[in-house]
Parts: sequence; C-alpha cells; structure tokens
Amino acid sequence: MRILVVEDYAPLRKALAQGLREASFVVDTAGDGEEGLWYATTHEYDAVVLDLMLPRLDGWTVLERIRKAERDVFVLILTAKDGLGDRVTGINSGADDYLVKPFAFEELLARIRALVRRKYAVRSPVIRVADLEIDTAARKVRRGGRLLELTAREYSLLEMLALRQGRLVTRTEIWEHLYDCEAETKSNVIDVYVGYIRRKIDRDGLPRLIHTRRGEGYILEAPS
Amino acid sequence: MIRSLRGLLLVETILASTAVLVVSGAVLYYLVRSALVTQLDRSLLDLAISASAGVEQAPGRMLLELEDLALREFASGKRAYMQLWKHGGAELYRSPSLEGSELHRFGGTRDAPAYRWMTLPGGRRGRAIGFTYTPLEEDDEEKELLASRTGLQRNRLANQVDIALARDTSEIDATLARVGLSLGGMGLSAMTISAAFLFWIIRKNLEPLRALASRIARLDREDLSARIEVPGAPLEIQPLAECMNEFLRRLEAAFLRETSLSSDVAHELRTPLAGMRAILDVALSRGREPAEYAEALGECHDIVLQMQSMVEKLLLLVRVEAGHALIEPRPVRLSEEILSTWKMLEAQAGARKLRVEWDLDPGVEVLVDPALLGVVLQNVLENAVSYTDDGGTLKVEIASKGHEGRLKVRNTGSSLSRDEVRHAFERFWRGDRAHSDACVHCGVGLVLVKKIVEALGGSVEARSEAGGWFEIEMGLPRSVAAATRELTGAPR
Repeated sequence: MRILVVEDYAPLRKALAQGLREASFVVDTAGDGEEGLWYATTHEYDAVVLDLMLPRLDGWTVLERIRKAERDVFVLILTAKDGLGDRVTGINSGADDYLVKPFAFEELLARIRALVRRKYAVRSPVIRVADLEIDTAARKVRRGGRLLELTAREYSLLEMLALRQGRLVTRTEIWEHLYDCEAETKSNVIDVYVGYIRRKIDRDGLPRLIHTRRGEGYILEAPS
Repeated sequence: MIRSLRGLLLVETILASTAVLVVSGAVLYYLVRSALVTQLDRSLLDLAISASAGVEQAPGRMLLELEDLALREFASGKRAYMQLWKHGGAELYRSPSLEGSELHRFGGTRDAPAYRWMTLPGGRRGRAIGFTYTPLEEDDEEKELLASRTGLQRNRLANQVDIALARDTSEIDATLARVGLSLGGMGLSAMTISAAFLFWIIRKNLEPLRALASRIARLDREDLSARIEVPGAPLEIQPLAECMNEFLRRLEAAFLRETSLSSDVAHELRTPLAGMRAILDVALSRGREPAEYAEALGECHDIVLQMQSMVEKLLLLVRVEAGHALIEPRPVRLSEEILSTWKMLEAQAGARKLRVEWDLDPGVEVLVDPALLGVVLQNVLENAVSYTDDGGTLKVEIASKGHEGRLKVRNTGSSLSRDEVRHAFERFWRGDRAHSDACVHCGVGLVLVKKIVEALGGSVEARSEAGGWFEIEMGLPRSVAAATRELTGAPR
C-alpha cells in the first residue's frame, strides 16, 4: 500500500513516514502544499495523509485540486484545529477521514487501513481467497489454517493482490504501490517477489492461487 | 409610572394641548362675557338716561313724567326695575315691576355711572346702574335755548336725584352658559380627536425606534457578523444604528482576533505535540537499537525546547500586553548585549555560511530593563538568522541619534512585499510560511519584540527593500548619563 504524507512540521513528517514504513506501507512525503499536490496527482496512492495548515498551498486547496483531478485516492485530513465546524467542512470538502492533532499513531494506522479497505470495497479486515486468509489488521497470512511466515515486502505484495482479487494486476501497478519515488527500477524485482510468495502459498501441491498472465501481470483468485 | 417613550409622549402632549385648549377657551369665554356685559351696561345706561329725562325740577319740587316709559319698561312683571330718590333723601319713584321691594342706591355720576351685580326681587341675578344727577328745570329747554342764544347765564336749580336701574341678566347668563357648554364640548371633542391623532402619529413616528430595538434584540449572541439596518429610519435614529453597527464591527474584530489567537495557539502547541507523540508512539511500537531510541529522544528533546521557548514567549507576551511585566531600567551598553546574545547564534549562522557585518558604536548606552532587552535582541537576531538565505548577508548596526540609541538589523533572503511587511508584527504571522517547519515559534517573536520595545519606551519598524533586504529598526531611550557626557564633551 502506498501512502503520501503531506505535513510541514518536519519531526512529525519524519515520524509518520518511519512508522508507516515499519507498518509495511510505501511512503512518500511532502513538506508543503504544492509538492504534496504534485505527488498526489502524478503518482498512484492508496491514501493521502494531508495536513491543513501548509505553506505555499493550504490543505483545503490541495484536497480540492486532488478531487478535481479525479484521482481515485482516499484522503485523511490531519489538523490542529478541533472545531466541529472544521470537521464538517473537512468531510464536506471531500475528505474521507479526519484526525485531530495530537493523535495516537495506532489510530492513524487503523484509520489508514480502514480507508484502504474502503478503497477496495472490502468490509472485513480479513480477506479470503479460497482457503487463503489474509488478516490485514494483524498482518497474518494463513493457508488452510496454517500460519505462513512472510517478509514485510512479501506481505505487502500479497495484500495488494488480495485486495484486487480476481483482477489482473500489472507490474507497473504493483511497482507504483510497492515502491516509493526514491526506489530505482529493477525490472525483474516484482517477478522475484511473486516467486517468493508463490513458493510459500502455493506449495505442497495445493491448488494454485497466483496466476501469471505472461507479459501482462498477475491475478490472485480461487481456482475455478 | 409610565416608562415607555410612547406613553410619555402621548400623556405629555395631551396635557400640553389640554392646557392650551383650557386657556384659550377661558380667554374666549371671558371675551364673550365682557362683550355681553358691555352690551348690557350700554342698554342699562340708555334706559337710565331716557328715564332720567322723565324727571324735571321746579323750585321746591320734582316733576315726574314717567308714565309712558313705565308702561313700556317697568310695568309689573317686566324685567327692568327702577327707583328714584331725592339725592340723599326720600324716594321719588319705584317701578311697579319692583312689586314693593327695593333697589339699592349707589354712587356715580351721569358721565361715569356705577354698575354692580345684584340680586333682584324674586332672587334672580341682575345688573344695576346707579348715578346721581341734576334733573332739568321745568321748561328748561326753552331757557336753555334762550341762554344759548343770549349767552346769559341762566339761574340753575341744584336739586339732585339718585337713580338706580336694574335689569334681569338671565338672558346673558343663559347665553354664557351656552357658550361655556359649547366651548367645553368643542374642547373635549378636540381633545379626543387630537389624542387619537397623537396616538397614531407618535406610534407611526416611533416605529423606526421600535424596529431598531427589536432588531437589536434579535441580534444573535453567536453571530457578530449581523448588522443593523432600519430602512427609512429618521435622521435621529440613523446615528444610533450606525453606532451600534460600529460597535458590532469592533466586537466582531476583537472576537475574531481572540478566536484566531486561540486557534493559532492551539495549532502552535498541538503541532509539536503531535510530532512528539508520533515520534514516541513509533519508537515504542517495537523493540529497537539504543541508537534509534537515542535519536527519538533527541528529536523529542528539540521539540520540548521549541515548545518551552514558545510557551515562555507567549507568557511574556501576555504579561507585557497586560502591563504586568516587571521593568527595571538601568543603563546598558547596547553593543555588549548584542555581542553576548550573538554568541548563542554564532554556530547556527556559521553553519548556514551567513556573512555578518557589524557596525557597532560601543558608546551607545540605553536605559532599559536588561532582561527584556535580552529577549528583544535574541528574537530579532534569531529571526534574522533563520530568515537569511543560506550564504546570505546579515548586517547589525547601532548608533545614537538624539535621545535614542538606534539598532538596525538587516538581512537578505526576504521575499516579503512592502504590503506583507506590515504583518510582520502580527501574532503567528510567518513570512512566506515556508519556514514554518524550521521555526515553529517565530510566529510570536516579532510581536513580542514590538510589545517589549514599546513597554521599554521605544519604537520599532520593519521594512522590506529591493534586493531581498529585510530590515528591523528600533529606537531605545538613551541613558541620561550617556547623553549628558556627550553634551559636556566629557570622556566616556
């Protein structure tokens, strides 16, 4: 899952980025409104964490322009203002969620995960594909009830495929969601990771869940 | 007790117009009455003169020739009465209408007869005329004629007669009663009609006032943006509405200032708190290497220092604004204070490769509170260092001018327009805002500088000049000793 954090206060920005990365999100950060808008409109994000009082371009304007650009992205507003009026304006202006500073990092994490589920129209934090269970809250994966050990990167890739189950996911899409702007392109890295998780999930002669569409991408779905 | 303006106006105008009506009615009544009485008196006089002509005197006696007149005027049952007496003596005549009762004799001459009110026989009111005269002698007319022709003084008999003649005044009284009644009736209906009119007029004209009052009463306590409009209000009401609107405007501005202050304070405090909490939450979310904890603690430490500095500035600002700051002025060498403050900023300036130019007159001594001056210098220099572009130039200049020691701090790297500079001394206003993360607390710094400098008896200005120069110039009161030394040319 790829997240954009737009926050002008450097210590907070840095801590959020670190915390989110440690929670296996791919994170880009922006320190002012203009930069934030540029990231949000030129890259694919699952969620944007947007501060309101920003230099150069304030959060409301950024939000408005993201909505105008019709980016399919969920926006969580961070603000130091706690008036009810601000919350209502925030939600009415197209924000998907609202968090007042200071907040518990756990809460931000939970809200971002909920936004991501909403984006992929998944209600339950546990995604099921045949006998594969992905608990997005606990970040645990089971196949046939057996717990599988996945690295953070592997988990992210699997979660991404699971959220789009039954749909073809291109390598570019995977790249966009799994790597931040600073990552260098390595053409086969996605295939290598898919190989890793396939080896862990589709082993011991179990029905294959991850299917390759040569030259296009991958699909995670139950065998028909 | 009537307390409504409408009630008071109504009652008082009705009272005033009643008084006017009563007085003018009384005057009118009096005029009518005296006209009637004059007319009556004239008729009394006419009758008395013709009656008096019915008396002639001859030596030793009086001749009365009153039959015709008596028949016409004084017959029994008529309303005119007459009695004649020899002057000071016996009765000569009593009219049949008197029916035995008597009139009173009273004075006056024929040229100036006396009149008086009296009660007539039968208890009616009447008016009488009375005078004393000398009846003509018998055949007087012929003698009179002769005398006028010959110019001879005729021999005159001097016996006098008193006459009293009265008339019933019931007609006048009835007329006056009618007049009085009509006046009263007219007055009353005029009062009733004018009261109704007044009620309507007052009500109509006070309507804008009522509208104003109800408009004010409807003002929402929460909504200070409302303004009062009374369309078509008279000139006297307009200023009221304008005053009220002006008052509302000021109230709203003050309210907005306070609201924005508290929301600014909230923002300034919550943002670093959020940063600190996020750092701590993330640091505690898993087991870490000591170096990672140390980094998190170091970051939190920096944030705490920033917050402490801001809270202290805010507190000092509040104290200075409320006039509670303790100010103990004493002579201070400005250059020494500047250099000692600079020591704390030197490293920062060096790290950003700022070029610093000094032009400090060591003799400038100002009379200020040293602790507060320290806060001022720290804020001004800190502001200059944080806003100067990397590798930019910073100039500090002090000189004495008149009764002031003047300090100028100039730095490059400003993108402020002349217009924006005007906001430099507003709370929580930060230049282009891009620096907000570098300098969380500087939104308070310059306001504090201005308030303190003013409390110290000085003044401060900010200017923006071509080439990205931003300048803060302040004047502080010079110490008297320094100024005196300079005047007397004594060595410093």
